[in-house]
Amino acid sequence: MSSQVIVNAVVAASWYALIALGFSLTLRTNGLLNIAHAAVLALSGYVAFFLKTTVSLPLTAAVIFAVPITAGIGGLMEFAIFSPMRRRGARGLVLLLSSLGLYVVLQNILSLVFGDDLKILRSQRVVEGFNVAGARVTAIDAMALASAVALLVTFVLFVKITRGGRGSQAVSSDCELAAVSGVDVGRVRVVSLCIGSASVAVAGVFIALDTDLVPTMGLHPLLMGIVAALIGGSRSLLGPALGALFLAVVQHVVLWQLGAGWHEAVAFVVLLGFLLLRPEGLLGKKVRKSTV
Amino acid sequence: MEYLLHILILISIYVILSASLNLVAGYTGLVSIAHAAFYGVGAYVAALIALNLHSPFLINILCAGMLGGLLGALVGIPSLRIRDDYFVIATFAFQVITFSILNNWVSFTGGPMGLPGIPEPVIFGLRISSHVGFLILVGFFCGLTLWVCHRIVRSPFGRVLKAIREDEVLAQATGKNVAAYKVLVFVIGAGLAAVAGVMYAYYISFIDPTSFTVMESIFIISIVIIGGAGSLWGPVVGAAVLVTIPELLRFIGMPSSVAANVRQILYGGLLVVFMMWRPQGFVGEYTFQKDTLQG
Amino acid sequence: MSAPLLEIDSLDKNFDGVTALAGFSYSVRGGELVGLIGPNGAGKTTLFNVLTGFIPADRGRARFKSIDVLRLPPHRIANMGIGRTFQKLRLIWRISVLDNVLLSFKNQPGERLGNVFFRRTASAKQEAENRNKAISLLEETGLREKLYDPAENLSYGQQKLLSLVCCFAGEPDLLLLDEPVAGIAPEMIEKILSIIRDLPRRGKSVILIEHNLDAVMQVCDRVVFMDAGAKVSEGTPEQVRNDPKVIEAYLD
Repeated sequence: MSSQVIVNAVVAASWYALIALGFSLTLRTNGLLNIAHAAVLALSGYVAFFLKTTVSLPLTAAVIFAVPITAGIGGLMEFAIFSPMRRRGARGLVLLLSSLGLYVVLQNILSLVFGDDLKILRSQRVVEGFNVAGARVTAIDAMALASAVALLVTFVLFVKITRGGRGSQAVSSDCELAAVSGVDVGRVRVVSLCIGSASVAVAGVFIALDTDLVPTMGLHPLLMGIVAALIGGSRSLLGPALGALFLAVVQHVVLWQLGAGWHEAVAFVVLLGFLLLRPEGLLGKKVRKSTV
Repeated sequence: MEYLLHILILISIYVILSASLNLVAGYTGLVSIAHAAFYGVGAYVAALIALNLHSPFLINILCAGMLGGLLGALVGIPSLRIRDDYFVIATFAFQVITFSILNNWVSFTGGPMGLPGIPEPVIFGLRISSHVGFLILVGFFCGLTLWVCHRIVRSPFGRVLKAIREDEVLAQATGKNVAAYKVLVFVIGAGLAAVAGVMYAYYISFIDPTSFTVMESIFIISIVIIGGAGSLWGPVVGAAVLVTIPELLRFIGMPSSVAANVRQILYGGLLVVFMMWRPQGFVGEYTFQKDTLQG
Repeated sequence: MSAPLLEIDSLDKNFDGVTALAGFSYSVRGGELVGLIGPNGAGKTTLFNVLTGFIPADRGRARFKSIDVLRLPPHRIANMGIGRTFQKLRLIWRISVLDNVLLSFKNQPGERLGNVFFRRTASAKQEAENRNKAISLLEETGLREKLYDPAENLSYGQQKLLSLVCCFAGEPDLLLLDEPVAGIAPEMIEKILSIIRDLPRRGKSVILIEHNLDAVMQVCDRVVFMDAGAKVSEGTPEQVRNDPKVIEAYLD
């Protein structure tokens, strides 16, 4: 198999992994399948664009600052919308439906403010890529991969070592127990949506650098991230990353054999296969369905 | 006057769409954001048959409805083994893929350029070219849809649908073949959505994939929720409200480019607001909350 | 000697290393009222779940009316004539008492999609008959005045009574009742027990899970004591009560 295919798959996997990480974090700790992440992804690209064009920051600075700003907006979503709803007794499905509404609102705000036409984020200089084992890798791809790995490592360390991280683990496995043990569940949730959004935001800026900005840019990547998260097993820490790798490899093998345009169909088939045959994902623990 | 007719035609099309989704999501509890996919398939099937085979309108609508129903069965089957919220994701994925197929299979569907030149419907020799004529036509199918929903909901079959929504385990223990009901309701819902698609295709006489996106699916489920899930009048109220209010924006002089976005912000915002404070919508009875404690 | 109504043979069930059923065997004849007792976690509800098709067994056989039920889906088992109530009370809370009972009838033509649009007189006729049956059942059991109230508005005891009525309305030959009198007032306990006691006379068999030992001793012809997934003792209520193995298990 051509090394280019492998390299492309790994690069795609790093984007998917970033999104999958953010998505599964929100799923585990906030009990919420958050479609609004698609808007968060686009938002981070636009914030970077705004910082670069209107505030005239250099590109690197714009990209770096976009992440925490977007993360903050993500945390605001939890604080202003999901937490109050949860207090009123809303659970899974209701929150999911609200996240759909949120997505629509946010994406259209982006359209209103920035317009629907394509915006370019990267600088005009063409940056030469370099060669890895006979395959071409652009600088952006390499950075995306590096940050995905860095974030993943940071995240695992954060959860295992810091108090805040362990708190989030507690909340995701049993939030009542966590609350009783003194964990500030509300704050953990806001923080985890911040972090989840940050992860998605990083993916957002890389995607924006690579394929330019359009308000609807978030849907397709989010779908890939969701599939990666679900097939990897969102209950485990490394599951989303593994799922991302699996999905990217399968997609690129199909791409290599059958040509372009099948990405989404492949994702759907893979998703369906896992949901039907192995719903706990690659790394998840089998959840005992005590329905009776 | 033409404008008023136009609004009424649009409302009727959305009533068909939301009433059919209401059967699936509001009465049976199967939330799906794939409805625009069935809508689109109906439109494309009818358009393709009309443009290539020049077959009569009634045949086209029958074919579109049946194909839509078949696709509905395909989407309904996974619902048997996949939990609620994950099932929504699966329908989301299905929706995105259908759009992708419509948009990328250029040789068959015309891709982003769409299919222009759909002829006017001719029924038993009568050509329908005016807005009034079309309103009567779509009004007929709208009425038919509402009648179908009414008959289903008032029947023992409908009683089982509600039981499935409220407690699937109990429904099974009572001897109801839950799997069959779920697939059947999807077939009906998707088939009716396809009929709406046919209406749309003949009305605008030109279709392209941008009318059948995830946003459209979200719009349809918003109508169901805001109007009121699990009630017969909910879709009518919801469609009337969500179609007319954005049109009023035009009267206050908002430029149409901005109006499109504001319209979407309106219904997206309303969806969040209603989910927060009134999940049963205006006149509905189902709040999408599965009871976890009873007694 | 006719074949037993229900034959259970060496059922095994394991959940992630926890043994819920360990070689459980038993037979129930027509018209028998069997009590199933044992400490929490003994596997009683698991047994019901396996028999009604909600959980697959790992090993063993179960035959109802000489037909193997272990691999059938729950709705088929229900239609063969096994009805059940649940430990965690289940009703359709949002709909009326009457609708809950109407839902429970079997062989309703109106439940078939085709009959919603065609052959409507036949389904309407059956529906009217079912209505009358439902109302007289509810009258017999004292719930007549709550006919149109949503199930969620009833008291807990009335809800338990309703779930029993619904189970009975399905005309099962075997009723699996999971703690039908737990957590309710004495008068209601009496009422429900008298209905249960009457079931064998109407040709039904019953397996009854209960922690209320007085109730079990009063009502049952035979008792099975279960512990750690296996049958430890069986016989008449007296025999089981005095069985040293049972006494020991309860004192543990």
